[in-house]
Amino acid sequence: MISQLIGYLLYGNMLLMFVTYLFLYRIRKLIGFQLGMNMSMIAGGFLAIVTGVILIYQYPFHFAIVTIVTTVIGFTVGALFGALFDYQTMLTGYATGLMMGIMSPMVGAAAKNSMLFLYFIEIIFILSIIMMLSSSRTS
Amino acid sequence: MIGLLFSLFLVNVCTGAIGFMILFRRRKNIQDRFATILAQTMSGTISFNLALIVFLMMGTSLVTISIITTMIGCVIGICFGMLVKFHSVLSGLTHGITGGLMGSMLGAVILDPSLCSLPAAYIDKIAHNTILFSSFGTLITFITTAMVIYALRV
Repeated sequence: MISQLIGYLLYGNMLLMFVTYLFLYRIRKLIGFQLGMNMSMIAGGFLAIVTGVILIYQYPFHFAIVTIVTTVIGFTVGALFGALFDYQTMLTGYATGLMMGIMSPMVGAAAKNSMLFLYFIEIIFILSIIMMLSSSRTS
Repeated sequence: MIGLLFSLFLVNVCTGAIGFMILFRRRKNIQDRFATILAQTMSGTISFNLALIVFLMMGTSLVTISIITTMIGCVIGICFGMLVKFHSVLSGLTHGITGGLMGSMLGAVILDPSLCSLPAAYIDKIAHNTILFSSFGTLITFITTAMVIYALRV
């Protein structure tokens, strides 16, 4: 029961990140490379953390595959957000997503299925997306 | 197992050394910004892989091995940071230390799954997980080095 709800949460996070990507794609010419670097770090890192924690809650018997999938998702999203701006921005987002994606299943496994931790991570994720959008609007 | 891990260790060291040589030969036309990003990416990834493989190869006590791997990370970060100017030494040092600590932690979790309270079924799959993670890390090293070297032509 709870694991199915967690699956919907993962889908919602992916959808939110996709909408953010489409929004940033329209105004990518207005954003400088310094803000773009921070944006790609935030996007790749936090999506990797949320995905890793949710996946290790859902499948606790597949640690290796969950780590690999989370790492691939992290560096793909970081590189996609960085590729909006520059090649070097893409490298920054790639490295951050890689590191966070390797760490996050360990954190999720050490949290022992606590829902409070998941809510906390989710609130941080949504807050960081709101900050990303507001900073892109003021630039 | 030890032979495979040692050959993967040598492959990682050679990849890092070849990447360093190529970047060192072209260091005149690298800008400041790219020097910082280069130090972050390369030192983080390579020190992570070396720490993981060293811990899997001789993992007896976490404290000793993590001190050694953090030292290796420091040296790698300083080497890649000093490539162009001295501005990027701090950034490379930070990411090298982070990579070393994280790699030894992941190695400890793989060898002893009860550290992260993973299910007991992992005790049977330690060898499988060791080979999987070390080869995946080597693949990541190849991809990162290729992307950084390709950035010289863009």
